[in-house]
Amino acid sequence: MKPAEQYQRLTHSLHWDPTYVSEDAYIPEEWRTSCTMPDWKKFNDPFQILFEDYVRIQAEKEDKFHAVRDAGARFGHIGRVDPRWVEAMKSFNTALTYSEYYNYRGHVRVARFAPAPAIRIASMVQAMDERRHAEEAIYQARDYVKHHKSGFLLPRDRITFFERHWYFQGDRSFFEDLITTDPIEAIIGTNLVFETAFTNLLFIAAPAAGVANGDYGFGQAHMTIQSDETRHMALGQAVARAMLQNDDMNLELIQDWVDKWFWRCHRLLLAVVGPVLDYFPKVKPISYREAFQRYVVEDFIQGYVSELSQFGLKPPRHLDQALSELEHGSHTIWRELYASRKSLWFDVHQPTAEDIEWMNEKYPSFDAVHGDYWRAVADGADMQADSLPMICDICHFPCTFPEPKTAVALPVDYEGDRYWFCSEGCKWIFEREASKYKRTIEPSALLLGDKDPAWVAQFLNISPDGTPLGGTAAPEGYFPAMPVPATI
Amino acid sequence: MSTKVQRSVVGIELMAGEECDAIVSAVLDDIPHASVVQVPGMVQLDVPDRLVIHASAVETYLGREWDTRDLNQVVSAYRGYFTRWDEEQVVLSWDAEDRGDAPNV
Repeated sequence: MKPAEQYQRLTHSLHWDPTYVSEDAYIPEEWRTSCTMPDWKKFNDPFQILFEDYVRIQAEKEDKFHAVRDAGARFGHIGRVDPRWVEAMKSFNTALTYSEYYNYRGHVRVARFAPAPAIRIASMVQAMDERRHAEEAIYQARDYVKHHKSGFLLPRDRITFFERHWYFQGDRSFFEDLITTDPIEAIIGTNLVFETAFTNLLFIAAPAAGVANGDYGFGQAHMTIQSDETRHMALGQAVARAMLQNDDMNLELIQDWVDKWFWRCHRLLLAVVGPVLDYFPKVKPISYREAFQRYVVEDFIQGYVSELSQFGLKPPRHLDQALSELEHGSHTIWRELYASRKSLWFDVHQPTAEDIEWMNEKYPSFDAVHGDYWRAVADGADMQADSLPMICDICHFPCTFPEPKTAVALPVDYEGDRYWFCSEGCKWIFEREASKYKRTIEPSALLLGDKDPAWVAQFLNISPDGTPLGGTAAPEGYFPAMPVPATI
Repeated sequence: MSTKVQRSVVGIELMAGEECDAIVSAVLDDIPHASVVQVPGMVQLDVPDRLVIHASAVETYLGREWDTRDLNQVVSAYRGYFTRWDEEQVVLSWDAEDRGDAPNV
């Protein structure tokens, strides 16, 4: 049998329409897509991967990853990774582990509730990919714990930071939002916007920096992760195209979802990956802005979005605002982190003379806007934040953009409460779906209310010298930031 | 240049190694002015409009059989649409209807 016939049998033949239960019971309204297609069964995944090929190819990818890890342990590469890079991993690896796991949960849900058989099979495979990625990140964390003298984080601290620390609530809320959407929105948000435009910054630009600083295991893990993303990207592109081609009614939804996820991705990546490219690495192969130009502007905007413009798709609504934040974004977030360094579990260093020289070369307005701050630090100024930062009610990062002196905080009153946003993009996202986000309770406001500093420290899992407390016990009065509806 | 997109460049970013070298060599035979940039651990290969990888040419450079499905092992990023991916050719193009090169007679 030819692979194409075999693929048809293994997707379309495995799908059936329910007869014993109603449509409502089969796909509850909450999880049913608002997009329409004349015949969902005609949609095909461009990759058409067969499960037996998938297993063979993935097993080889895993073998290659573990070979690099083994070599790193055997010949001592892991112990020689530049210490500044390992500090980046204390932040990034922790965020990544749980983000990948969330994505796995999200795709299991898409596999269950998407209306097209081909999307369901592709999402099942993607769920397995995301699970593999989470496990690779865990293996790497284990390698740093075992072979690097950096005091890497133990699992109980990692999960506590991810659930509670203010710096990670942006990441957590992004993924909790992503896995509680319309199933086609999940594909547009994840596969078209996040994975086509933005994950190249995570899995290509960041590994290049990792390799340049001696972290070969990270390089190998992330290049193999991104090789899975090629399948995901193709699915996202095909779904967007099919929706736009087959029914004019879908355009408004697809546009809204592209606009929303473009802004959420921009904010998350700027705040978390910006420092991983521009600040943590001693050797910096590519700046955040250069990586954004290559993958987001040239590939996504000037490539995919312009190709889809024949069906009416426009560039993301807040593209210009995103572009205007790039000059100062990573520097602004690093200053915020530096001021909060006592409540962080990774080292936020003062940039060296070499770092500053590189900043000036890559970001021409660096000196005019941030030069005095770092000169003051060099002269002995303390620069400690005396409270937790004011956090945006959508992205959950500090309201500190575009740069501290001109930072904005935009209010919206909704059902008797006042919400604050760091940008027009986040404000627009809230206003479009206020009922989804109104239940969000962000830790800053909660903590600043009536809690004493000892409670706050326990909540953040940080001892006064910045080391993790090593506990998962929540202090009294703790409640999760954003409840997630049960998935399956 | 294709009029379908604002910037008509297609390309792949490959994990450096034997397969990457063979794929790059095979493409350079057809498109000598392709852009090949080395970054740590990877190679970025960019060409105008469309890129066709012929399995037979990759096999010649590798000196062994090569299954195009294994391209997924080494491609980490790409720009353009994969419009054909079968035993003979992998086609990356901004023309969504591009079905690849005519077979060699």
